[in-house]
Amino acid sequence: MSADARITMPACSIQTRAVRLFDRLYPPVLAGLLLLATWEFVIWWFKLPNFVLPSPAEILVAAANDPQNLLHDTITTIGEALGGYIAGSLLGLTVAIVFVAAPIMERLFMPLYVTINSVPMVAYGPLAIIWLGIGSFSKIALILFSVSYTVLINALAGLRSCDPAAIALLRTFGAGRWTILLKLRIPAALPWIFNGLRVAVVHSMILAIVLEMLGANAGLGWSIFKSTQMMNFVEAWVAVGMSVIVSLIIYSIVTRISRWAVWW
Amino acid sequence: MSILRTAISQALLVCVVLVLWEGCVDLLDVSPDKLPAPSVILATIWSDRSALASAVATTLYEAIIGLLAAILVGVLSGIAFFRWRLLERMFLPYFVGSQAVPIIAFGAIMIMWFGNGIASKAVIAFYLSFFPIAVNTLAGIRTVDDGEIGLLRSFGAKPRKILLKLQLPAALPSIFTAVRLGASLALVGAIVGEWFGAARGIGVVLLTAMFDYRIPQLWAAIVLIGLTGAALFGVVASIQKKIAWWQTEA
Repeated sequence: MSADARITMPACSIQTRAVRLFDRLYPPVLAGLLLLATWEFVIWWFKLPNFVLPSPAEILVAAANDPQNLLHDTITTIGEALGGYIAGSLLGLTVAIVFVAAPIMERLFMPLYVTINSVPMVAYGPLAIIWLGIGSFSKIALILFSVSYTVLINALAGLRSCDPAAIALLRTFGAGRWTILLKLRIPAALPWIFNGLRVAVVHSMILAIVLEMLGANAGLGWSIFKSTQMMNFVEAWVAVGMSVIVSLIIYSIVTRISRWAVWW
Repeated sequence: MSILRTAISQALLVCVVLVLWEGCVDLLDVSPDKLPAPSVILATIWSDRSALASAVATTLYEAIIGLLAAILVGVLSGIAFFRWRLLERMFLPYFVGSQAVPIIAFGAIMIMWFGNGIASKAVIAFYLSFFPIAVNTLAGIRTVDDGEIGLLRSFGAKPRKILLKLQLPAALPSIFTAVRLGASLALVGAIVGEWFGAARGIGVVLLTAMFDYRIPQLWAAIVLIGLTGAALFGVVASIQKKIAWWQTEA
């Protein structure tokens, strides 16, 4: 129906787009409102105390009560996640290019990378903290390693994905190995790389939070751990909610960038 | 044949590294508190074998209960999404969005709700693996060719029969992909859940080894977690081979 409208009434295209947007958005918004209403209703009906389930309003009030600490924790976690994420992405890309340029390196080091990564990353958490202390450095190092692996796997798959005929074509025009890498392989690998980068966002947030729970001076994970130990449950909800919001924001930024970079 | 050869050469390479590791620790006299030699780690696993085995069993139990519940509820909700379009449009965005969020942080709340025992870890393992399974079930059902559905319908098959005989089997590869992912997520969920508060499990071993500075124990736990994850993955893959035998992709 909307397709018809576009053909017969091009002047209304903005309006139809708004209608379509509304059409797509109202069900999840409705579900969200229903969820919030059920949440409030359950608390009111069963008279739940706030250590079982605080109401959304209570959580917001608690968040507004101590913005300084919350901001400090949030910035710490974002800093760790982003620091490890950016360094890890660069490392993963570099290693992928080295592996493609020198296959012997891949045969030597890839099995080690795979073996180390066959253990869930969080299991290395205590080790990272013992080796590198409870500051931000241990979190950044572990995130760096995890992200570099995710990006490496995706970048390798992407760099291998391009058509051999296209490589042969460039070579007949006299293109060297580096030209082929820059003009053909890397652009062909971009969608794969960005796929890895998107997944890695979530990994780095998870690792930052989980490692902060093991030991830290500040951060959202530390706040979650501290407040559950002190039975301050509303505070735990504030930190959990904040970490959800932060990840959604970073994830949507990376998605935006990937749409812009991989416009085809 | 070439797969076998690369597997052998990779195993060899890992062995070489282990020998080098052992040699370096020996020659440079690195204290086991910094980096224990592989032989020390193995000796620790052997001498603590009964305690470690029961810890692994507890964690595995939590992960498997959570994973089984996630498969059941995940597949059912995938089917529900397929049947009721509005339900899909209302809730699927949240399911997809949950993949962009560290939902493991909710584990702290699960411990408050379900206590220090096995139940809370199973719940964490459940909700971590549940979302991808539900999403992939729906995606798998959707891959079925309309022509095949039309064919079955023309023979008088009811929607329920079409679902059971055609759509669900067709969705199996996609479901199994999510279950394999879910297996490792469930294990991570159980371990991290134990960090929030527990008396037993391999996550507890990891945590106490960190606090007491027993580095060989820490390494032993890491090795065992890796092996447990590989075993869980292998079991899921072999079940997939039995149930979805027509699918050649490993």
